[in-house]
Amino acid sequence: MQLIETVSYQSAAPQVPSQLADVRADPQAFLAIHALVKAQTSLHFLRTAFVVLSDFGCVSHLDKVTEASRQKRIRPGNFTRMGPHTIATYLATAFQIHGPAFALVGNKNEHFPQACQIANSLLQSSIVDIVCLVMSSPSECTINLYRSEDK
Amino acid sequence: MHKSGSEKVYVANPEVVTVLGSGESFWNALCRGDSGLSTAAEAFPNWFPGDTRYVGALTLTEEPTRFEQILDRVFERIDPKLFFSVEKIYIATSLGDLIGPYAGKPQRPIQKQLEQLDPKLSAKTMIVSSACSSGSDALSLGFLALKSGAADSALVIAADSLCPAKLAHHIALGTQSPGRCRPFDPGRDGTSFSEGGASLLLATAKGLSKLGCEPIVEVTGVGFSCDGYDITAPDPSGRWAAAAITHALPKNPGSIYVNAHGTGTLLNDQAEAKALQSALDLSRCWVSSTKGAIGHSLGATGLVEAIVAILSLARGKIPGTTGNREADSSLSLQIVRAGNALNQQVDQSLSVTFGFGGVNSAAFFQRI
Repeated sequence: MQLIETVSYQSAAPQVPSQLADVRADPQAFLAIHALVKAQTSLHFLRTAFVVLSDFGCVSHLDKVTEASRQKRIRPGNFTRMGPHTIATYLATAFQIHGPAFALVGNKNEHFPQACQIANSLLQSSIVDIVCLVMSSPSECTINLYRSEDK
Repeated sequence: MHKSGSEKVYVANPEVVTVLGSGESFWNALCRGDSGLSTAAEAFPNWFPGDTRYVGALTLTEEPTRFEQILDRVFERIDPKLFFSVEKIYIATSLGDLIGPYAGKPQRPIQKQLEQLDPKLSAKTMIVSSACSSGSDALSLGFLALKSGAADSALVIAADSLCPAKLAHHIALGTQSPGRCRPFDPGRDGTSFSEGGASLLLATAKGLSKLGCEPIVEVTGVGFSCDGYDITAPDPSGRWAAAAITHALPKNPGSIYVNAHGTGTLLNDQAEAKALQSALDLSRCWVSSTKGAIGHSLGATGLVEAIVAILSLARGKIPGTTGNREADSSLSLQIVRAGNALNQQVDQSLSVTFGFGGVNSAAFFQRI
């Protein structure tokens, strides 16, 4: 597996990216879209995977929903957009990519080798040609783009 | 894709925790056409007094720690030696509980559970989260790890809870049926959310030999995709779901049992039928959904239903679609209706799972 590009974006309060019609995403999804906009690598619509690695997923939405739930209130808009995988699915929607999109829950330092192994398995199995490994936190997103050694 | 891999990947030791029980009693109840669903009022009297919509709730002691208790039950059914002997562990979950000490952070009780067994286990464990596709995605990642030669054995585990706050959110979204889940029925009006878990071992022949486990079926392919269409609704054309199924499809498919995602929502069943029509020769497929019997167990549902597809193949029986009163003719599927299981030995089985955000997963199994 070969690292072809790394892009990152930092902001405590990211703006809504112009690529999104649905503006109700968690700010971490906004960060990821802003980061990927900076990438030079062209992404095939079906042969690109988004693999998110995140400690707690979409923390802002998650906190709103759990706080509301404690008071027996509901926040359906935040609820549907708080899973860590929504960072991947918003990327898929914004860039019209239809390959695998899922999240791994873990610490960037501790679980990075395992996330790389998963990226490598996706590439070796030829399910995709490019894996975007999205390392997401509330104020920063770094995306490593990988392809197979033999491509 | 994976088809180029040389090592065959087998399934052993499948276990489920569902509202219809576990082990043989689960399988027998499912094949009789029983349902483990109850009313929301019976399940959560403090949150939903008098509420007659049907949900699937396990009998648990304290509501704020439902996820932790379900995880305990799932772990109890796994041979302890497997945790130490396997090379990889994939644990699937979605959101867990929304109230209580681990609200929105199901990874914490998972880590706690693993540390109690052995602190070193976390180094080979990965938690997979992709909403309702989490369980099937964990299975797929385990399969790919073995196919790529990264491991010879992987334990795949899934668990999720239906805390009352989560049910309240789904009711507001309109995804929960006001009555009961009726998959592929013209009168369907939503799903019945539930909770539970599952586990299985994936291993190559070498891995099986090392662990002393017997295979029951082979995994022949997996596929996943994302609609990139809407954060809650599926792409109505079903084309990306079809792409995931096509990816997983064996070269020479025979007769197939499809354990459908079959949530019983209007949109899901329509999009899923289109995906199946596009990817498969439906004249050789029997389709059923088990959500009317065991509910939609959220992040666990993909692995629970993969095990139904596995057991169906291994035992030559296709469970019926509990809750279905009439097959929706507009869907053009050969639905196995509610009631006793169909005695039918098929060549392969397919498990299909979709999730919020438009994530789609498929896994094919073959008799050995």
